[in-house]
Amino acid sequence: MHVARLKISGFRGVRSADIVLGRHAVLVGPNNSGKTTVIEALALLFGRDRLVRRLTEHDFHCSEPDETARILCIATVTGFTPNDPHHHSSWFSPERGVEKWFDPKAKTLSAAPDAQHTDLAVQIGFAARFDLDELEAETLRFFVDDEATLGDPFAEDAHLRTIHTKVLQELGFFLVPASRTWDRWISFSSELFRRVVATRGDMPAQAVRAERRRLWSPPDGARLEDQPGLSEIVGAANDELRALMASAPKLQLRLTATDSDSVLESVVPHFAQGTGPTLPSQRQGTGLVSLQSLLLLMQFGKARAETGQSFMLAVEEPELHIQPSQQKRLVNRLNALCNQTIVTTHSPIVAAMFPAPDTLFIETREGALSAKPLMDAVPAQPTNHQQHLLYAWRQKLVAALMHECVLIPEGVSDVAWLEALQTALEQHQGWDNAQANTPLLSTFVGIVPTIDAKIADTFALVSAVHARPCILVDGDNDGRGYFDAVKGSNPPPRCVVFWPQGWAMEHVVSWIAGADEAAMLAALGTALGAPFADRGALTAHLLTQKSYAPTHESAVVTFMANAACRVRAAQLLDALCDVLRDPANANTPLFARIPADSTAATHVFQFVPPP
Amino acid sequence: MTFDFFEGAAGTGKTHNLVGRAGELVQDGALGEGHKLLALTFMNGARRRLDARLGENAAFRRRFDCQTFDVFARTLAARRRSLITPAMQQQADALSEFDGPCALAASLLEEEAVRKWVARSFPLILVDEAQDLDEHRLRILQGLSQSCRIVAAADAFQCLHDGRDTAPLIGWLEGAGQTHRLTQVQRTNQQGLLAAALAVRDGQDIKAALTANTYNNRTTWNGAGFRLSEVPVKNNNSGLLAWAIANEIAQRQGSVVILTPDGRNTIIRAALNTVQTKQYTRKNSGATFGPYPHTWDRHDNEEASALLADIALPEAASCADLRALLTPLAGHAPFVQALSRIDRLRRAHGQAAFTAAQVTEFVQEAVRNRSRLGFRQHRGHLAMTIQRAKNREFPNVIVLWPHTATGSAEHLRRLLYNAITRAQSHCTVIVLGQNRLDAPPFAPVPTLASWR
Repeated sequence: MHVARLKISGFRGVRSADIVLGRHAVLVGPNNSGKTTVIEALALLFGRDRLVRRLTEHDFHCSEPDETARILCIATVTGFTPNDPHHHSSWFSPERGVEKWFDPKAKTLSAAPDAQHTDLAVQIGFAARFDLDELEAETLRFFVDDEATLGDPFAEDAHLRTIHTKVLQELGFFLVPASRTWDRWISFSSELFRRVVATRGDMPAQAVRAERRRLWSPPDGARLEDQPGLSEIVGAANDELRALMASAPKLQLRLTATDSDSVLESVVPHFAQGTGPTLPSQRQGTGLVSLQSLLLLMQFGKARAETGQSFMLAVEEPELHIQPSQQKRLVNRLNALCNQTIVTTHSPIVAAMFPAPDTLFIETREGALSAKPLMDAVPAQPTNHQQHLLYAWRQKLVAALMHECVLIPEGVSDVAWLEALQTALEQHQGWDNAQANTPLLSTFVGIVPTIDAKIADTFALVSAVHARPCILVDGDNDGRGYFDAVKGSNPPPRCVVFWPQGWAMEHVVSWIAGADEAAMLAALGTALGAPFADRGALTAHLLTQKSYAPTHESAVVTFMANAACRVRAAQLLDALCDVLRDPANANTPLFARIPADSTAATHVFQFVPPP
Repeated sequence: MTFDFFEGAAGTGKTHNLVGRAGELVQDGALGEGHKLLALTFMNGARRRLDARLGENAAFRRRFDCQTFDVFARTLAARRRSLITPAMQQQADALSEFDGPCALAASLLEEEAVRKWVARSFPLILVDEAQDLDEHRLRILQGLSQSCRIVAAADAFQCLHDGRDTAPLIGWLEGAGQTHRLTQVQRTNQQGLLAAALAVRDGQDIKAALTANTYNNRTTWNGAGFRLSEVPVKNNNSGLLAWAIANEIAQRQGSVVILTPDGRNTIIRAALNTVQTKQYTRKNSGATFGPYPHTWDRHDNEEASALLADIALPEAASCADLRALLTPLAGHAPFVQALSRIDRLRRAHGQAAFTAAQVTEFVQEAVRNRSRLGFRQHRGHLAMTIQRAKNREFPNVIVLWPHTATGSAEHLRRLLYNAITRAQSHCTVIVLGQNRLDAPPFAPVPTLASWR
């Protein structure tokens, strides 16, 4: 079974959301985009009650719930085998839910099956309201009989069937949150561990009983109260007690509370690496500790899979503390074991492990959360460029799309130079005045690794998932042509930046060198192994090295050694960042608005290099 | 699907056999994991009694659910509402608030998916008093019978809906599966009581089955466990009737239930009021009898009106105002319930003001809910309409038969038969007025010849 569609309203920062989920989905997006809200909505619906009990005012949209404020989540669950309600009486009966039929293509539901609506489905709802008198949330988990006429679940005449946790356990939903309290997962204080032991193994009852007995009555000579150093104190205490109480109780010291439960509770996982000493898990590296819970979950998933039971896993940031090779193994193994995995990540590596249609970009604007697949249904025969972006460069593409703004430059060298400059400036920042010297370009603007002259293609792909795509083109006829090709798109590019007439990125680089021209021409001549008579010669040379990374790096290192160049580079990146982030209000002398080309939705600028 | 139909006259143990048969089916494994027996009734009183009865039977422990047809239909129609077509809705809208949901449920049960859905919780369904099935409720049962096993019981003669033709219904019930005919009356072995009931059922002269006694110019007709008498009513004077009632109660052991076809009859109401408080003295012996306090088993809304009678509800009031007004009356549970509902509406829906009409409605509903759950209590004897007594049995019954009992001869006979057959050991029928015993329901329809 898996969740095919999830609707959320009034929860945290999300006023409304409607998300279509595949069997294995990865949610990516900038911080605060709502990824965790989606995962926690699933926890409200399917998780254990403990997660639900913590709801406070801040879980309600806008943090100030009134009497009528509601959190409402509705999940459509499908994937029943066999596909017949008659075999699932624990889900579909007057005491339980109402069957629906899901169209896997259009992702819609119908009350009766037809040619399109072929998959048996159930809808599960979660609702919460905040009681202003009792200062706590009242929650409901229920079967949704008819979503269109659901109304307020707390209404007097709502006719709702509540769901028992037992039914939900059939889904086998587990959440691994980002804030993991890892080190005690493999121990009997973890409910999950107890469940794994119950399903896959047996309680080691005899060993526990024997241990308990040993702890309760230690052999003579091993009792703590008899040890020198302690025996005196204990003896004195016993003398006092004798004077106070007729029964003359005797103080004895025991490890644990000497019942089976305390023995189980005090189990702490240890690991021995190679021939090294056995060490408790908190003395191990965080990676090993991190893996514990996932190892355990896999055992649990395996047990469920073997008995034909469903297993759904929501994992926040599986990349935490784990090296990339392990990440890949782990994610692929999770996907293979689970009926459904829903993963959030900040790692382009993890994101790139999922197919493009299952890579969902999450964005929340004015409370409306959208989840857009990187490419909904990859074309059977993608163009060369699409192949590059979706396969060869997926990691870089996904990384770029995780930013607030996305910049699509005209060519590969624009990408290379901008990234090299940004990196060099970051490495060169000092403690003093860090803000002024370090442009925020890389924080807020993701640069898409486009190949030359494919702006329109790339733009179409990016604008399907990102609301703020911008383009950067040369100041020539070709550049103008690229702009013309995308300006009619819906939505159009938010911001368009032209280099000056006849300029390409390389001219801009030469302009940076011009901050201290004589010194830089000499230094660059040495660094690049060819003397330059003037800036024109430098530009001409750079234009022949468009995709040669060592040139970019050497040139940039040389710039950074020069204070004037550093200032210029920073000014450029800062101004570019400002213009891209907030083109409507951008106010920088380096970029001039071109009113003739600008509209309310598209802001067009040209770089104006000061002399 | 199997269908067991029990048919028999009043007192022949229909319900007993019905529950017994359902118990057999359960013992034979008719209920699987998570399954329950669904018992459908027409009124809440019957639902409560059946609930208690099923609860006593070990076979059903925690594995049954008693619902009225109306609640079952309302829930079904609400939960499967996404399948309701405009045509179904239109048909339902033309009907009353009770029949509409039944019609909707019946239409929904024409869908196999819905029938199977019901059967996944309730593979076995029990219906008592099936003669009361009207068009819509019959359609519900017909739908259910395709996916569920049914056990049902009926006696056409006990249908109290004047003018309804029960022949097609009984025909369907008899043809739906196996019919079990019950003939031995189990409720009583009082021969006079049995003979009187049989005479009424067969449309014979009831007097012919009894023995006439005349004493002090008053004639009564008697048999073992049965008495028929007339009480003259002149100038709307209810004193004589009151005396007759008290006198009858005095002669019975244990509690007495007073039945009448017309609960609004003013003479009867006045006489019962007198019986509540008046003490009588016998002239010859000086012995006293009465007063006999009793409770009128009245309609829920009447009880709510009585509760609200002394309270001046403001046109509109806040929750706090209503609490101040109603808390002193917290001894009456319906007020407590109404208040908690008002508070809930304030807290969960932000409702600030409540109109008098709303509060009245809340109190009425609280009364209804409480009687649904069987919380209402009574002291002493009981008085009620014959309709309300359906399917119940009492040791002693007094039937007050006024002029105002109306309907076809057949309907009157059915009413009287129902009233008489409620008694387990004794029944007295007091006819208001004189010279009415030669017409239905006490005698056959007079032929033209007898008029001459």
